[in-house]
Amino acid sequence: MFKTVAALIAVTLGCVLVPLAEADLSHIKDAGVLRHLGVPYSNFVTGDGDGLDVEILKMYATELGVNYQYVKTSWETVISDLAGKRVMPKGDEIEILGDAPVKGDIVGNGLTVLPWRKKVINFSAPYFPTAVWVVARADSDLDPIGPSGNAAEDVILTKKILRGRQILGIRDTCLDPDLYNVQGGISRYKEGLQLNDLPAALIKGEFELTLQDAPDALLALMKYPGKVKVIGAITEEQAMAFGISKDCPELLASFNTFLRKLSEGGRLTELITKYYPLITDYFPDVGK
Amino acid sequence: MALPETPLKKEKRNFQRSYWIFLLVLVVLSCFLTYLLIRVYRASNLLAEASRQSFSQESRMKISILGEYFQQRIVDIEALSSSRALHAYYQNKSLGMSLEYGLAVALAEMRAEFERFQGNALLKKRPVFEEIAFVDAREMRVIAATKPFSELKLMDTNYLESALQRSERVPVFEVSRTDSVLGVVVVRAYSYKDKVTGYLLMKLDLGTLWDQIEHDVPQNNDFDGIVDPSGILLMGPPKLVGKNVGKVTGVGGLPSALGETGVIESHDHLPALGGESLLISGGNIPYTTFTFLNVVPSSRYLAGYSPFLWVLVFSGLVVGIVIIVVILFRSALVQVRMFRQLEEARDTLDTRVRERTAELAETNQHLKAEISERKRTAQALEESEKKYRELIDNAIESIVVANEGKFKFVNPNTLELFGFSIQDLTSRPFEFFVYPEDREIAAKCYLETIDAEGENRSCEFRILNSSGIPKWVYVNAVGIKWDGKPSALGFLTDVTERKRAMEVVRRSEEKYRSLVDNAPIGIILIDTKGQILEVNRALLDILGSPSAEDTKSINLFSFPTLVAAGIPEIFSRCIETGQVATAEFPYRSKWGRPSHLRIVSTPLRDPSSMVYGCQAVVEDVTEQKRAQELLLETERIKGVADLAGGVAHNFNNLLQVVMGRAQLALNDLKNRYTERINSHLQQIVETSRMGADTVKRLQNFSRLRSDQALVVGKVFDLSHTVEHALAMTEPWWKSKPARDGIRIVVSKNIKIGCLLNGKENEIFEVIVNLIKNAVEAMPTGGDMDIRVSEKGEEVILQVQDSGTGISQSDLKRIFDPFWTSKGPGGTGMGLASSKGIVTDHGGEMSVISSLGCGSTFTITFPRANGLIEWAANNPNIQSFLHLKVLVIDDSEQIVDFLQQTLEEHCSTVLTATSGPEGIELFKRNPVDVVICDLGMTEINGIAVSSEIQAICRERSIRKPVFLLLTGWADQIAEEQNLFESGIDRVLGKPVTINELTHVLRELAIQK
Repeated sequence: MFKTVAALIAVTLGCVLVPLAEADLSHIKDAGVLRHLGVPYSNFVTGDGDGLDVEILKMYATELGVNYQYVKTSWETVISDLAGKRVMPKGDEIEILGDAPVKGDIVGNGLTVLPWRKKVINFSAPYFPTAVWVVARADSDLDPIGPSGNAAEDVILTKKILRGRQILGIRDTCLDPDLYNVQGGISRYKEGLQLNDLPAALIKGEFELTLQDAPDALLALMKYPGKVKVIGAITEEQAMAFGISKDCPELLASFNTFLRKLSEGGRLTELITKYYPLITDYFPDVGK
Repeated sequence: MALPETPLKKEKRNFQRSYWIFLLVLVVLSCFLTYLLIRVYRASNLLAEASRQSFSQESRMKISILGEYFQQRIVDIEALSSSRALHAYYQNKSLGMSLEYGLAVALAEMRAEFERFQGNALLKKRPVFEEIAFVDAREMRVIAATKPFSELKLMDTNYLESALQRSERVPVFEVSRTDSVLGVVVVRAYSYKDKVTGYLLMKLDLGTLWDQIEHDVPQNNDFDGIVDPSGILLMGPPKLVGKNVGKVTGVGGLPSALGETGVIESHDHLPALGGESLLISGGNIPYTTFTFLNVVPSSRYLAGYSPFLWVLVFSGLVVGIVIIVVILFRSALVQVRMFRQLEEARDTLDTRVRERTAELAETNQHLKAEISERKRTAQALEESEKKYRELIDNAIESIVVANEGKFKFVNPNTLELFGFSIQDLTSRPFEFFVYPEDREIAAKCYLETIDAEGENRSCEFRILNSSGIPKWVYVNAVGIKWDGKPSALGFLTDVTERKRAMEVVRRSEEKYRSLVDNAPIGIILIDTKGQILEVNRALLDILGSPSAEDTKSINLFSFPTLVAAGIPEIFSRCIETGQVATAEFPYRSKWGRPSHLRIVSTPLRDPSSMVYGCQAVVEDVTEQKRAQELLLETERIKGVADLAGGVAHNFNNLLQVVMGRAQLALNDLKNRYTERINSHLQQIVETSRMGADTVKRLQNFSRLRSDQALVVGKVFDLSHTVEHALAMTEPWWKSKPARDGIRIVVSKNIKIGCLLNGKENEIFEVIVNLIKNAVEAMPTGGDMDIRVSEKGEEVILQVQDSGTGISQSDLKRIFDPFWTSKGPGGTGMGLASSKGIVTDHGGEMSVISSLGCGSTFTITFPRANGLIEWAANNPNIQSFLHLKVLVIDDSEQIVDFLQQTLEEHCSTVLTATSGPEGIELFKRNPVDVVICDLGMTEINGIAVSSEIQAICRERSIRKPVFLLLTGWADQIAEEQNLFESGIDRVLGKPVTINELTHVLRELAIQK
């Protein structure tokens, strides 16, 4: 009985996934175009036609022998545009809300590997280490934590001092405070606010605290020296990776191969330090 | 006579000439050689000095380049220390950020900034900085650098800390030593919020530094380099780097011994540098503590040949010249000695020849001199005779020689004097030519002369010329021998004209002496010392002197009687000023004769116009003065008489009023109309006062003037005087003319308050005179205008009439005494007297007139300034209510009268009827004024005054004004002890109320 049911499910899934399989590597080659789903964010996708992820994917498209196409999306739709499913994260779980059109082949915009995302899409091999840091206005009365030498303890320490504080975040991104179970912390969102706008929102005085990816926080420190400060980490070390539809295993394998070659040749490190020149001071093994 | 030159002498001279020429050439050559040597020596020294300068200049240029290099490095480090990354690091750190969470990015930025800076700071495409690092001051470790920390070679660990502590906030250059490798690091302290938080270190690539200096290809052992303050060579030849240059060069104290780009020499021939002496230049490199050195062998800049060599050359030259000169001198001496022996032999021979020749020449000279002397004597005699002949012939005197009674010689002028020919004069006895009456004198003179040879005789007598006209001659004769016979040499001068002039003078003197002696006025001559030279008889009569000798015995300037009369003053003035002086004096002579003298003194001058004395005409005007005074009195009496008619007329009018009012008062008495009676009585009193004033004015006018009166003159208002004069003379210009049908219109423009100081009654007399003259000048009527005005410090009185006027010829004389145009009726003293009065008051009087156009008499007086005195005289002045008065009199009636009178004007009036009572009263109640009778029974008024004065002195209070009342005011006033007794004024009894109030008013103003 169980085998029968399993077989039926497999047949059903197979029927369902057949049209999706068209996005896989062969289809891309046939189509002659690699569609890059991206949200302008930090130096991953600058929005000006370049960025770390843009450059990597252009190189990958070149290697595949297809054209590169950038498909702009948003944090709210980036998953559904890739997976063809509208989902709602609930902690590490998700709720499938329905279907959505697939608009691209690969997501690349500093996409953090999160548990709920893993349930919807596949991730390539991680290429960029990160963590989520709490960033405050310079005049905030919160003092940065003293590093303990242990990342987990630092997260606990950081969350502890965030109690009762309002934290600005953006839904559907890795910078959503609700994702990190800050007890006593108050998540605040602002309509229309993009990830790149978070430091500016702090400096304007609208909010006291926000979350930033470590590389982005570093850029903010460089961009606004003396105006913002890093309080501590709200996550342990994370990774960023390219999102690939679960229906494209060939593409996943092919891209991972490409990344590995890029890493081994040192090219990946060059590209990363090109867009994040100081990242190696924090993550010496980045790109390796 | 010069001897012919011998061959020997010629040879000697040639030798000497050759010798001196050779010596001269030798000296010139020596000088030229010396000059050349000096020039060469100087040129070599200049070259050497130029080389040294060039060497020093090269060092300075390299130091300048190095200075610019180090300056640029300071600029670099300053630029880098202000980079944003450094600031951001400490800013983030101050925010509490940790390296793990964000702070490391700032370090990464810092490192990136350093790398960018290093990459940009290039010199000739080579990085200037080998390493750049930042040391955190608190941690004292490198936190950012362009190299991994382990590879850094900035400074060794031990040195780093002390070097950083030395470094201040300005960039400094430090020497780094890592593994014995020397380097240069520029260090700058970095401050965040005014606190040193770190140090920026930039290690220089010395290769780029060394490239800044162009290096010559090393020659021998020369080199250049940079040393630190301790003398360690930081840059230079590799074998010497790290060594002490002082030891290397042998110059102790390097580099400080160099000073500012100096040059020094080292004479230590050190094997390390090739064993040569060295020349070292260099100096401090700006902005650093380092010194640049340039070391070369001294031989390259050798200062020509050594001075010792030059001394040798010069010495050799001098010795050579001296030896040559000595040799020449010695040979010359031998030659000269030989020549001298030959010359001595020849000179001996020459001497003998010359001696013989000289003897012959001397003899010949004597002969020539004798001949010449004889010739000169003869010529002199001839010239002397010629001179004397010309002298005699041209003499202006007549010169004659006579013996045996005849002229033996006469000169041409004698012929002219006598008018006879020479034959006539010499053929006849000279008595023939003498005026018969004078022949005896002439013969006597002739005989005396010929008897006394050599003695002078003189005489005067007359001669007769060929026309028979006698001429006076003055003869000066001397006895001489002429042709061996006693003779008379006579010089005759024609003195006829002089004789005639002397006669004229004598007669003139006799005439004038007669005039002086018989003159009716006295004449006196004195010298400048006052000694009387001459007096005439009239003067003796005037002075009453017994004789001229007695008068001459006195000195005019010191004779007491004359001095007392002031007479010497006029003579002194005449002598001092050289001008004619005139004056009149009352005089009582030594011999007791009183007189009044008028003296006119005229200066006596010598031909050079110097005054040597004066002569005076002295006139006894005693009688004239007396007549003049009588005339004035007559004139005044006449005026009084004239006025009396008018006064009588006025008086009748006043009496009419008095009588009428008295009659009315009597009538009203019956009806007891007391108010009306009072009014009538007041009118009677006022009218009587007017009558009394009129009489008083007439009395004043008629009173004789005296000079003493003017001294006690007072200040008065001329306008009042003029008004009074017009009132007094009203009968002349109004009543009398009206009676005769003649109309004289009088207009007046009189300014009130024109004050004069003087005697009012005399001025009154002047005004009356002018009014009278004006009325008399208008027999048929006319206009008379009287004006009184002020102009500056002058008061002007003008009386103008439209009468007959005065001719221009009369105008000059109208002020002369006794001159009158009124015929026998006039005395001629009116205007003269008026002018005298005006002059006595310091004024001037003038007249403008012409016939038919009337006359204007103008008198100007100096304005008086005595306002107080005038105010005291002015009845309109304010009251004197504030005065306290004490009245002392032994007559109760007088005391009552004075009390009632004074109480109307004064604040307090105290009374006493005896002296002691008055004194006691004063002790209790000091007053301002005491009015006291003189004659009282117990003590008189003078004693009361003395007592009150003593009281005031004792109490140190102000003495009251003391008025003494007496019936003998005139006599008392002359006593001199009044003032000493404290009496201020004497009032004659009976005193009127007006007089008393007048005095009190004056006192009130003064108080």
